[in-house]
This record gives sequence, C-alpha cells and structure tokens, in this order.
Amino acid sequence: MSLKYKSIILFLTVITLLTSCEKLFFTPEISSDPVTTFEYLWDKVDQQYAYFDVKNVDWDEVYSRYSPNIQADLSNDSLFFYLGSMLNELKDGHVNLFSEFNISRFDISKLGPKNIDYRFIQDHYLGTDYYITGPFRHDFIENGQVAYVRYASFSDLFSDENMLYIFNRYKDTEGMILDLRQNGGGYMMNIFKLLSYFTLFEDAIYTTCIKSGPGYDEFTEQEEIYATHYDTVLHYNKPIAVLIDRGSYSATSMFSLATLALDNLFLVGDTTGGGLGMPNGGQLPNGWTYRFSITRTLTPDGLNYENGIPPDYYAILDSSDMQQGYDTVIETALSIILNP
Amino acid sequence: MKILKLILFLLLGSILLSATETDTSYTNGQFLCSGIGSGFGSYKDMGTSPLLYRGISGILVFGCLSESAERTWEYRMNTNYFGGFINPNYTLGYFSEEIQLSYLHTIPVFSRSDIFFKAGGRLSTSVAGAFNPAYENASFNIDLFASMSAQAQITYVFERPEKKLKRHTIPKTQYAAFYNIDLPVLLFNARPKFSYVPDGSGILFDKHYFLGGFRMQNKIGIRLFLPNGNAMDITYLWKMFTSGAKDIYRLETASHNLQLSYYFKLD
Repeated sequence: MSLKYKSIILFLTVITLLTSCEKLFFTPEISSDPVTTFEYLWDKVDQQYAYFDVKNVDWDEVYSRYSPNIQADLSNDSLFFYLGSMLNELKDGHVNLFSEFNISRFDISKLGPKNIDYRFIQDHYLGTDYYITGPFRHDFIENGQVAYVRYASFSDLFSDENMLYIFNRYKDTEGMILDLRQNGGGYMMNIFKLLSYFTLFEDAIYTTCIKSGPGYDEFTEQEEIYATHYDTVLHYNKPIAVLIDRGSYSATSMFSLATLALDNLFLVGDTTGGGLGMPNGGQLPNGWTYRFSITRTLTPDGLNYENGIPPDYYAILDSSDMQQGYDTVIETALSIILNP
Repeated sequence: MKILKLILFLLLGSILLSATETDTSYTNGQFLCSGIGSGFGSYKDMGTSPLLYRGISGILVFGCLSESAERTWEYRMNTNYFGGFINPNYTLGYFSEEIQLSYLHTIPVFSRSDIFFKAGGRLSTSVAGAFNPAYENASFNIDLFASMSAQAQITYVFERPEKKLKRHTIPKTQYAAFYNIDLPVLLFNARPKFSYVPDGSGILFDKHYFLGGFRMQNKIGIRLFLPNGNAMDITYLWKMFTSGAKDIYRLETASHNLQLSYYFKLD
C-alpha cells in the first residue's frame, strides 16, 4: 500500500476519533443553581398538574410569592423548604419533593380525625382468634350475622384463593363490612380485582383523562373504565358497607368512587382523602425528584371528587360510644345492613 | 472513552505501518457473526429529567455478512444496554434491540485492487426501553424508532508479512481495515405524548409519531482473517441519537463501544 493510502486511512481514523463527540449535537447541560431549579419545577407543575381548578390555587400568585426567596446562594436546606412549601400550596397528598435528606409531603389524613382504632376493634369485635387470610383480617361479628373484613393497604396483594375462602366462609351472612379506614392506597389493579368479587356491574364505574398540553384545561377525551376485568367465579351480592375516613386515599378513594355506581356497596364514615389523579415523577436540574398528579378521574356523570368522596352515611368515632365498647362507624354500618 | 480511542488508534496504526499489498480474495464470502462489546454512554430524556446520565454501555451482536469485491450485504441484530448514574442515588437502565439491514456497493472509480470504496444504505428499526424507579408512574418507558440512512465505507485489505522473533515466528496474517459512516436520510420516531405516563386504561405505549431528529453511527476497525477462513475483528463503534426539535421531550443518547466480533465462514 502506498503511503498515500495509509495516510488517508490514518487521517479517517483521526477524524473519527476527534469527531465522535455527541456534545456537538446535544442540548447544553442545564445549570443546577437554585433559581434554575425553582423555575424548572414551577414550570413543570404549571404545565402538567391536573387539578388547579379543583384545588382553587392561583399558581402565578404562588410564583410571585415564592420567587423573591430564591437566590443563587441559597442553601440546599432552604431551597428544599421553599420548593416543598410551594408544592404544598396544592394541598395534595400525591405531591412530593424528594431529596437525599428530606421528603416534602402534604398529609391529607390530618384534614379529618383518625376514624379508626384497630386495637379497639380487636378488643371489642374480633377478639384474638380472628382469621388472617392474605392481607385480610376478618371474622364474624354481631352474633355471626355480619362479616367484618379489614384491608389495610391496596399495596397488599391477594389471590383468588384468599377471596374464595372469605366468601365461602361468609356466604350465609346478612352483609359485610369492608374496613378501608386509613388505607392509604396502593396498586390500581387491586381496585379492579377486589371490585370484581363484589359486582357483576358492566357499566363504566368512572372515567379518566390525562393532561394533553400545557393549558390548564387541555386534557384527552374522557375514557370510560370498567370493573369487570377479572373472571371471578364467586360474587358477594349482599349489602357491603365500605368504611372510610380522611386517611382513605388514592387507590382507596378510587375504590370508593367506584362504589358510587354500584347498588350493593355504600360508604360509611368520613369523607375520603381524595387523590384520584395518577402521579408521575421527574427530576429537577439539581438532581432532586418530584411527583404530582397529571390525570383526573371523574364519576361517569362527570363529577370531580379529587378533594374527597363523601360517605353515604356520615359517622365519626365518638368517645362516649367507645367508652361503652362501640365503634361508632361499625355500629352505623351494622344498623344499615341489619335494618335495610 | 478516550482510552477506547487510544487503544484502537495504536492498534490500527501499528498494523497499517507494517502492511504490504496482498491478494484480497479471502475477504469474500458468507459469514455468520457474533460479537460483544462494552464502553461508555450517555442518556438524557427531557420528559423525565433535564440531566445527562453517564455510565457504562454494552452491546451484543448477532448477524450475517455477505461480502464480495462488488457488494456487501449485512443483517444484524444489536442488543444495547446502558446503565447510567447522576450520583449514587439515581440510576437508570436503558436497553434497545435493533435490527439492521445494510447494502453497500463498490464504487470502482474510487477503488483499486486492495482498496474498496463502497456506498449504500441501511434500514434500521429498534425498540428501546428506559427504567428509572425514581420517576413513579413515568418510571418505565418504551420508544420505537425506524430509520433509513446513507452509508459509506472504505476498506483497505492488506497482509502483514511473516515476522521472526527470538523464539517464535509470527506467520503471515491477512487484514482488512475499514471505516464506516452512517448518516440519516429519514427517521421515524414513536415517543411519549405530553404527559409521559400510561393512560387510564393502562396503555403504556400511547405515543406521538413524527419524522425528524438526527442519528449518526461511526465505525472504525480492523478484521483479522484466520487460516481456517473465519475472521475476527475489533471495532470502535460510536452511535449517537437525538429525537430533535419535533419531539415534545427531546431524547439524546450516545454510546462508545469497543467491540470484538467473530465471523464464521459459511462457504
């Protein structure tokens, strides 16, 4: 090979090695300073948060109030305090800021009383020999007339065998109490799976839509969601009281919303915490991460219960009832089931 | 990345400087190939983070190659992986499965007996997925890409004469050094819509579709032909992609891999 061709190939090699740099084509790296981080987060929420109207928050006013506090030399602690406080203006349990040293949150359950004392239920209703089947704590109450089933978290998975055992055991009862108080939510799939044991209802149980643009009212078309996603062989068709409180959040609120469309399920207790939107997450220029809701869920007739689903029968734990050994919420449910 | 470039530059340079002209017929034939490589990469998806994740990359290759003095056909399946970090707290996994079909035709006016200049094109389609547990419902995403690109390759075929050392004799060895560049003509992309999450019914791949972006692949390497007709090569492979201004959230990826491949001669 002549020196000429060797030179050409070596020249190409050098050119390749020198030019194989993606920086020439990529967008410049973003600054991680506090001002850029603040602006980025405010802008993301402004464009993608789904509930400004329901929360009645003027996000521009929030910007005006917080931006003067954000300086280039702000410490991480202070920046986190301001960003977390800004997000908490949304009063939404699905909104968080995550850093290595703290997590900002708005505790929806504090908007109402904790409407359950599980130790009290054990002492006065279940005793010590109640059954534990999968994630469910359950037993007969009220002289065997009613089934009490406690489901503490929609994050807890359950099997068909779990449900079949429970429904076979209580098939001769007059009704069931499904206690979802302080159930903070979990997996969406558990909503549909649990519902499928309670109903053969084939109409839409709620509708959902997703942000489709930066405007506050830019959403996709409402999409109908149906309950019958699982082939369940056994259904419980007797009255079912679903016990709720402000700590019944997210997936539990979704389940409660679905009961509005079902005839044999009714809600007893306090208004739920809401949280019907699906939170997505992202990362800020300084590396912290965030989440907030970008979908909205409505009843089939278009009602928005993001701030909480009210009970069909309002009941709050009463200390004088408890002194007599009664859980006010359970007693309310029992009286409705046994005296239809 | 600089280490990969330096290794390849020294390797290629030293072999070329000892080259002599040779018969080129042994480079022709049908080959089955498999290869493995690793290196460094970077990843940024503006839909979830404005930050560039940097980390390690890997590639697995399976395919077949039909090479002659007039033309080259190549079919490849590439499995790429990238594991990136912002700091120890945020990690991201990105994988892609790519199918490529390439055709190169020799341009006689620029070629001679031991140097082949080839030009042609490549069709490519790939599915790519990213996972970052920090992003809640946006933790997992899948994208689809298809492209048609123009391609050029220069190959220099040569042999290194037998070399006698003190105790050993290194036999005459035949090589092909090549440089390949791939530039996009048409790119089709399926990327997340505005809100970057599954919709309410759980459809994960709710996408917007657009033409655009920029994709480039640069490959330089050297192939060694074994006495049994098989071959092996070492290649420096640089790939970069940006989904461009038409995307709602721009995706930018790049990888630099040093790849070792083995070719089984079929005929």
